[in-house]
This record gives sequence, C-alpha cells and structure tokens, in this order.
Amino acid sequence: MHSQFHEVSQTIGALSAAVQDLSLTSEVLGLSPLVSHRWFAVLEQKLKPQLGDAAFLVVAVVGGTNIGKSSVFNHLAGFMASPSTPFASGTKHPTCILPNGFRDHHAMEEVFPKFSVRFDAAHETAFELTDQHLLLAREASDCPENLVLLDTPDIDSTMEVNWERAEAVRQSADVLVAVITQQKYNDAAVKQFFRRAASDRQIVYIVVNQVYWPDDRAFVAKWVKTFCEETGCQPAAVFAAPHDRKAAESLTLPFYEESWPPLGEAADVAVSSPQPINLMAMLSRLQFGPIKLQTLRGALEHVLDDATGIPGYTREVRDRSRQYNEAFRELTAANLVEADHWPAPPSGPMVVLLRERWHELRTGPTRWVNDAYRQMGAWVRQPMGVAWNWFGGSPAVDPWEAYREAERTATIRLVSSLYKRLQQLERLGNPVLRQQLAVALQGQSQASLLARIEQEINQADYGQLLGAIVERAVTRTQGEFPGVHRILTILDSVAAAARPAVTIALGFAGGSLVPVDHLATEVVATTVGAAGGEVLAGNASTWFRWLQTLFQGIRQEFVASRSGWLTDTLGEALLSPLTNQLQTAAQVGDSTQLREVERLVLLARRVMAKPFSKVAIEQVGETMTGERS
Amino acid sequence: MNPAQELAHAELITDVESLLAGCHRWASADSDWPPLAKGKRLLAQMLTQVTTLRARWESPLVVATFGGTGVGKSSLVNALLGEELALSGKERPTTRQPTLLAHTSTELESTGFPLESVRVVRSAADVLRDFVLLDCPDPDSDDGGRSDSNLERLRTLLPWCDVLLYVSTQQKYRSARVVKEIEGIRAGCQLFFIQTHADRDSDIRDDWRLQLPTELQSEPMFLVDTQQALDDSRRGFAVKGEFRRLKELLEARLAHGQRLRIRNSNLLDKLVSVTGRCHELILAGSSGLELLKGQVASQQQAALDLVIKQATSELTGHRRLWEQRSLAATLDRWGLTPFSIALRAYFSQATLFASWVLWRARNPVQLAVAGAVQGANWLGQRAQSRQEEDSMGRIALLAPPRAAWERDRLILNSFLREAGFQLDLNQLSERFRAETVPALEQNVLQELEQLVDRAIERVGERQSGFVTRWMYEIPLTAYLLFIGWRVGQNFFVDTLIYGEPFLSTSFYIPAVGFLIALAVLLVAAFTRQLRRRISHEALVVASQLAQMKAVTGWFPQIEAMLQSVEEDIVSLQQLRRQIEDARHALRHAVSDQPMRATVAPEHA
Repeated sequence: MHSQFHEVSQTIGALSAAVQDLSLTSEVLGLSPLVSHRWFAVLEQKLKPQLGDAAFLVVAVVGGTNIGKSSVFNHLAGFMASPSTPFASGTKHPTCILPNGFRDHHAMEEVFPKFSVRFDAAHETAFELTDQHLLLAREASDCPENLVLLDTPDIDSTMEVNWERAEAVRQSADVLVAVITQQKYNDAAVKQFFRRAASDRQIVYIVVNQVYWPDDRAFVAKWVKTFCEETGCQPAAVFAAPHDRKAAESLTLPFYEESWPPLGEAADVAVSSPQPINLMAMLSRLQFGPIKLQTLRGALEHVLDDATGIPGYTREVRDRSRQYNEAFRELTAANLVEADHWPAPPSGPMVVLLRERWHELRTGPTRWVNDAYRQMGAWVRQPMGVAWNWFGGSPAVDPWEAYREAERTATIRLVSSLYKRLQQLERLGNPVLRQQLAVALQGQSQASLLARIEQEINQADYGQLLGAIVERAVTRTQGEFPGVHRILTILDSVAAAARPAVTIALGFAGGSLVPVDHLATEVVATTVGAAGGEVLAGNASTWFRWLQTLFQGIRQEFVASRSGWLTDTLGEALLSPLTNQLQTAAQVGDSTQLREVERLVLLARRVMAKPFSKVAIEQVGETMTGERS
Repeated sequence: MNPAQELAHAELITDVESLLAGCHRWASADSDWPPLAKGKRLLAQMLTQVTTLRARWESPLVVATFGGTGVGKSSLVNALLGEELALSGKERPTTRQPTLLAHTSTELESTGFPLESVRVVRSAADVLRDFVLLDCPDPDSDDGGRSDSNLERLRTLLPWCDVLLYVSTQQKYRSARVVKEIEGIRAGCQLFFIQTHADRDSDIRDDWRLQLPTELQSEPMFLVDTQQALDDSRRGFAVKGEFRRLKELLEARLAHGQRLRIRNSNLLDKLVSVTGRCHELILAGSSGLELLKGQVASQQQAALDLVIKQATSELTGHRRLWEQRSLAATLDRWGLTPFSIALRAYFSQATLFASWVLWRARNPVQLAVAGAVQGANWLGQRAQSRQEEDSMGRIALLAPPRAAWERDRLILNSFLREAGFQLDLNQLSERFRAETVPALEQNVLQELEQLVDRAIERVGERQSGFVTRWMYEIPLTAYLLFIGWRVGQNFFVDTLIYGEPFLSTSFYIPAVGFLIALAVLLVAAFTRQLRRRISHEALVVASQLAQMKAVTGWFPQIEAMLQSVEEDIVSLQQLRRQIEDARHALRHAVSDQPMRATVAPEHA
C-alpha cells in the first residue's frame, strides 16, 4: 500500500524501541528520565499510536477551568457525554467519544498510553480524585468515522494533576478546540499551554464561549487577535457562543462562526455569520488526510529536532558519558598514596632485627661464643633493670608507638587530600556520581572509614612485618654480595675468637671487675645501640653500596607494604564502588544502543525529507474517511 | 476616643514597639548557620517594611482590590464609589496602571505611599472618608519578571495594602496563579471575599470556602452584582442586598478608630508568618545540626578520654613523686619516733631525687602529683626564665595528638558542611592545635589536683595508722632499747661494778651496721607497702577522673558557634511566644468597637 507512510511508521517504531533501550543502558548516567522530555511524549503518545495503518484524527477540547469546555464538548458530541458542574476544576479525567467499532480496530492502551481506559463508566467517574490517570471512553453512533473526540481537564486550576492530563491529551491530538472567554483569553497559564500547541503545529479552532450577547460580540475579534498574538496560534476557524446557561444545559447553544482572519476594521464589528452552525458538521468537513500528515510531520520534526528532539538527547548522553570517562581517568590515574610521603620505619628496631638475623646465621664456635656473651649480658642487664625500676626510672618507650603515630598522621593527610579530590569531583556535578559521592563524603561515612583505618593501624604488627622483610633482605644481600658476606663472617669469627682471649687477658691484667667492662659493650649494643644504624654505617663506610641495598631496601619494602595496605583499604572501602560505576557510565558513549538510536534518527530524517506524494496523502485520507465517502 | 481608649492605644503601641525591638535585636545579630541567617534576613527585610508602616500608623487605611484579570476589580471599585472612576473594560488586562482613589480631603503626601507608581483620582464619595481605595492590576495575565508586567506592579504595591478585597468569579476562583499569589501575601492583610457577576454566574462561594486555609473559612463572602450596584447609585437609589452588606461591613470594620488596631493586627500577623517561616527553616536544617552536635559531643568525650588516659598513665608512671608526697603526709602525722627518723633520712634523699625529677617534670600531671604549691612555685620560676620551652613542654603531653586532631578535624569538617556551616576547619593551623590545650587542661587539672591531694591524704592516714606504726616502730625501738640496755649495762654495771672493760668498736661497728640494716629493711618494707597503696590510689584517682563530664573539646570555635545557634533558636521561640500572646491579647481585647463586626454571610 502506501509504502512511504509505512516506512515512516516502521522507522518510528524501531526508534521508539531503541530509545527505550538506550534509556535503560544510560540509566547509570543519571540523566533526567525520558518522560520528562517533550519529544518522548510526542513519540509515545502521538507518533507511535497514530502512525499505524488505520489512521484516525484526534480532536480535543481544551481550555481553562470552568469556562464551559464540557458544554462545548457535549455540543460537539450531540448528547450529554461529559458531565458539567458549576464548580471549578470538576473534570479531573478526560472523556472520550469514539466512532462505533473503533475499539475493535485499535488497542486503546496503545492509542492513549498514559491513561487507563474505562469504557462506559458512570459520569461521576470524571470527578474522581485519584492519582491514576483515567480516560472515560464511550462509543457513539453519530461520531464521524475515525474521529476521536476528547474533553480534557483544565490547564490553570490549583489541581496541577489536571494540567498534566490535559497536556497528555494535547500531545496526542491533531486538532484542538480551544475554548476561551473574555476573562481568560489573556491568562498567562492558558497562553502558555497554547504556545506549546502552536509550536507543535497543531490545528486550532477557537471557540469564544460565554460572550455577553450581543453587547460583547464586537470584542470577540479583538480578544482572538490578542490571544493569537500572545500564543502564536493561527486558528483554522473562530466561533463565538453567547453566555446562556439554560441553552448550554439543554445542548441548544448556538455557535456563530466569526470570519477569520478579520476582514478589516468595518468587518470586525459586523457579524460574520448570522446563522449558528453545527460544530460537528464543521468537524466532519475537516480534510483528514492533510491534517493528519501536517500534525504527524510537525510531531516528527519535533522528535527529530537537533536541539529539542532525540538528537539533543543523544548528544546529552554522549557528553555526560564523556564527563564520566574523564572523572574515571582522573580518579584512577593519579597515585592515591604516594610512598614518598610515607614515614620510614625507625632504625632502632631495624638494627636489632638485623643483629638477630645475623646471629641466627652464625654457626659453630662463633655462635657459642656469642651465645655465651649474650647470656652474660642478660644476667648483668636484669639486675640493672630492677634497680632502675626501683629508683623510679621512666619505663622504656616502644619505638613502634612513635611510628604508629607517624603513620596515623600520614594516613589522615592522605585520606583528607583524597576527600578533597572527591569533593572537587562532586562539584563537577554528575548527578549519579554526586549522589554516591555525597554518601561517601558524609561525616558519618568518613568517620566510619577513618575508624576502620585507625583500628587497622592499632592492630598492625610492625615487628613481624619488619622481621620478615629483614629476613628476606639479608638473604637477598647474601646472594647479591657474597664477598661482603664472606668477609663479614670471617671478621665475626675472628672477633668471636678474640673475645674470650681479650677477656682472659684483661682479667689477668686488671682484676675481677674487668669483664664487666667488656660485658657493658654487649649491654649497650643491645639496648642503646639500637639508637642508630648510623654507627654501623660509619664503621662500614667501605661497604656503602651493600649497606645502601640492605637498609634502603628494607626501608623501601616496608614503606611499600604499608602504603600498599592503605591503597588497598581505600580502594576497597571508598573508591571501587565509585570507579565501577564510573566505568560503566563511561562506556555508554560507545554503546551499540546509542549508535542504533543515532542511525535511526538519520534514517527517519532521510525518510521525512522526501515530500509525501499526493497519492500517499490521498491514501491516508481514504483510510480515514473511506467508508463515509 | 475616650481617655480609657487612648490609654489602651498607648499601651498597645508600647507593647508592639518592644516586640519590634526584640525582633530587631534578633534579626540584626549575624548567624553562621544558613537557616538562621536566612530567617534573620527575612525578618530584617520585613522589619524595614514595618518602619515605613510605623511612619503612617494613623494615616488612612489602604484598601486594595485583588484578583484575576477580568473578574471585575475596577467595576467593584466603581460600584463602591457610585461613579465610574476606575477604568473597567472588556479587553484583558484592562488595568495596567494602578489607580489610587482618595477622598478630596485626604492628605496623601504624608503617608509615604509611592504615589509616582499610581494614578491618583480624587472623589468626594463618602466611602473614601476612612480609607483610600487602590485598584490593583491582576496577578495572572503575565508571567512577571519584567518591571512593566502587571504582576511586578502588583507586587510593589502589596506591602502598602492594609486590607484586600479579594475579588473572584465562577471562572477564576480556582486559578492556580491567583491562589499562589494570595498565599504569599495574605498574612498581614485583612481579607474580604467577593464573588462578582452575580447576575450571570452560579454561586460558588461554598466551594470557594473549601479551597481556603482553615482559618479563613469562616470569613464572610459576598456575591455581588457590581453593575446593578453602580446603576442603583447613579440613579440615586440605595444599594441593595449583598452589596449593601459588603459596604456596611467595610464601613464598620475600617472605621477611623480601627486603623491602629487593624495595622497592629496586620503587623502581628506578618510577624507570626515570618517567624513561623524562620521556625520552618530551622526545622528543615535541624537534622544536620543535630548530627553535628552529636559528633561534637562525642569528639569532646573522646578528647577528654584521651586526656584522662594520658593523665592516668602519667599518674601511675611517676611513683617517685607520689612517694615523696605520701611520705611527707605520713610524717606529718607520725611525730618524732625512731622509725620516723629513719624515714626522714630516706625522705631527704627522696626529696633530693624528687626535686631532680621535678626539674625534669614536663607536664602538668607530674606537677599535680608533685603538689599544687610546689608545682605553682616551680611554674612561677620556670615561667619567668623559660616560658617558651615551658609551653612547648606542656603541650607535649596534653595537646591533642596530631593524627587524632587532624582526623577529628576532617570528620567535623564534613559534618559542618552537611549542617550548612561555612566554617572550614582545614584552615586551622598547627599553632591552633597547640593553643586548644589550656581550656581542656585547666578543666582536667583542677579536678586532678584535688583528687591527688585527697588520695595522698588517704595514703598518709592509712600509712600512719596504729597497727602500721607499731609494726615498724616495735622492731626498731626494741633493737634500740636492746642496744641502749647493752651499752647502759656495760657502762653502769659491768665497768663500774665488775670492772670489765668498755665495749669496743668490735661491738659498736656491728651494732651500728645492724641498726642501719634493720632501718633499711624496715624502710624498704614500709616503702613497698606505701607503693602498693599508691598504685591502688593512682588507679582510684584515674577512675574518678574518668567519670568527669566532657565540657570542651579540641575545637572551641565550633562549640561557640553551636552555642550561639542554640541561643538564637531559643530566643526565636521566645519571640514567637510573645508575638502569639500579643496577637491573642489584641484579638480578645475588650473594646466598645468590636474588631470583627458580626455580620453573618447571607446566602443567596
């Protein structure tokens, strides 16, 4: 059949599906939801339901509250289809008149996707105060073929949900019957609504209702002129109806057509049509085909518009995704924890551990001699300790406590600089990320992360860690500097051999107290010598490189291990949820879903660029009015 | 006005003046907390309007029309005046420039009303004797924003209005824009509700009433036909029906004698609404504030705990000082006995040692243990010579550890941000960390000194108890008696009677040696007992210290800020109560001219 129309219809169907797909994928970007976009409403409520093969025309009666919309609607319908009340914003749900058999060919929930459709409901249902959007439908035999007629809630009352429903109906309408009055034709809320209609290129018929007849009839043209200037609407026709409550209630209100555009100054005042006309008859005369094509084209243009349509949306997706990508790189590229700023382990325990390790490596007589002197040293040390204690000397300070405190300080500084960076990231303003960052930056979460770090620092067994590192380092230097090691071992053996000899010699020379002097060396070396590796370094300056490797190596490994611990902790507790999210979001920009939407937009534009052939227009018209003609 | 009324007036004015002064005080003091600062700005802004209001306390009331375009505001004004002075018309919006209608005898210049923004029309209509009528533009024909829009024109005039005639129609009584606009201004205005177009429209007053806030639902509403009323007046007939009731009520309520009352009532209503808004702002921000308060409190407690922990380790770690003071306390009770002499000997070397320790004493806990008097002397000396070193030395113990301080700073900073405070703790320097000590320290140390003094008293008492004394005195005295007896017997009996030789050095040296050994043994035993007691007491002191309540933490400026926020909130509540009381009093004041004429609405 009319293949061109069909092609557009298929493209739009695919586009709608692709957009939904993309919105699921890009949920992580935290963009405003699809329903907040006007093009999406047009796509879903107008294009998708109305591009089917069996086309139909949607006519909606719209306007402010309590100005007789329902009354106009009932006159159109020819019977009391919609109830009216003297109180404002009574109609809360749209009422709809369908030609007989319409629902056999159309799925109502697809035609009006926003509403849940109720057939032949009681009149009072229209006044019901519910959150659900209802659409009260009834079929009427004298309704023109393929014409759907709707009465809508108001667009200006304090019931803002009414505005939303009216807007949804407007979006699916082809033809609007705008009801205005002398009180409301220049109201800001009303004008705003009709500005949207004008920009969507909807066909507008204006009915000026409740005119004080005949005094005010002369003003009708002026009112309509102001209204049109303010809104940009170009009415297809203008009608006026007198203020006559009785006639309105008995459905005998006369509608007079006003000539539009006005014929000139003189004609303004002159009454254009002396005889009232039948509104429904006027609607039946509508040229369905061209109207349908005009409004669909308008809708399509809107949906495909570079700034306000889908391309704008895909651009937003792409931009946002790029922002996430930048944020991701920012957060992962920089070193979180710089080992340079990490405190070095204290030399004292390191020297003690080195001595211990060296001692463990001793064998044979060297070991026995040193064992013996150590034992003696211990015997001397113990009573000295007791005496020190008795006279109230200050207790020994654990060198690791100072290190623990230094590590605490370093950790806090790093964490606070990290938080500062996260704050900057938060200021960049990705809604999803911002939300997560806000949670991460909350005082409560900061406090618990810091408490956790504090606890882990308190529990850290530095001695064990350093011991293992020293052991590895000694083994490694043993392998790397076998010469040095050999010389040291020999020197150590010589010293061990010389030690008893010296003791005995001194004993002979100076009396019984002398060995104590010798022992003191041992005591001092063990307890106080820990104060600096410098002593050792000074003595062994020739082995600078060896020392460098040993000491630097141990320090570096220790620092790397500790700073690595912080990196892991921060990564796990703070950053990985963020970076995972960031990465997912960064990938949306390259997703197939995005490319698919962009491809379909181009396709739809190409299809639309071709002028609709005359045949196509006629065919649409035929499907709509075929049976009548 | 009779004298009683005049007095009542004067009293009313003074009451309101003092209330305003209170509000002014509250609003003018700055606050660091954004919800409070915003509230204060709101109130201050309102108070500047009040200043202009007070200048025209007794000038005629300004009665303004209010309502959507086309509802017949100008027609109502014309009907009230009985002549067509306000421009009414068919094209919307008709009234762009507001019209001020005043009696020919009314002096307008002194009222301070912005006459340049209105068109002034004079009339001799009787109804204008007590008030001026202002025909306002509508709030609903444009979106505002531009200075030439009707909405903006309306908004500049509304603060001057004392009474609003809220005009509406069947079509417009639920127009969102109008309803929204009146919501913002109804506090501080007397309202009259008038439905026009009675000739053509249905009576919607019952439904309209339901749309109003509860406190306005009992107000009378009028359904009038302004065209009819105008025609009647022109023809010289008396106006009839609802319109007549409206006019009568206006004349009764807005009579000359009611001006002050109405203005005060409006003023109080405004104050209620603004201070209520302040209260809402505070409530909205209070969750962040509460979190911050909780965090500050727990920080204070943690700071105190840390100080106590450090003090405790100091207390138990410096036995020598304890010993010295306990010994002194004990000896004070003991009197002169052989054992006390031995103790004094030991004590003198202990004093020597202690004074050495004292010189090394770097922190206040050590000083507290060493004794307040000594500590103070020592401090005095040291303060003169080595002030700098002294303060640095003191800091070393009780100043917050750097890491913990920085951690708390980070956490509190985020809580501060959440609560909305601008204060950035990251700007606090190291210097500041050092300076936060004194307050906290003073707190702990005063307590600590007393506790230590009492503990030492206890130790001294128990160590000089009867049993303890004799336990140590008997052996030494017995030995001394034995020596004395031995020497005495040798001197008086053995040498004099039996002619034996005097005791030689071979007796005296061991005897003295044994005496010293015994004394040392006894003193050692005594010291041991003393030490056990001391370490027990030190723990007791520490546990007593631990029961202290936190009063100040490491960040006194936050505490000060929270304190001032708290005070502001409390004084706002007081103000609100006072305003409510004044409003209540004004409403229920016995008056010969009732404020609210009891005209019941007549339903058509």
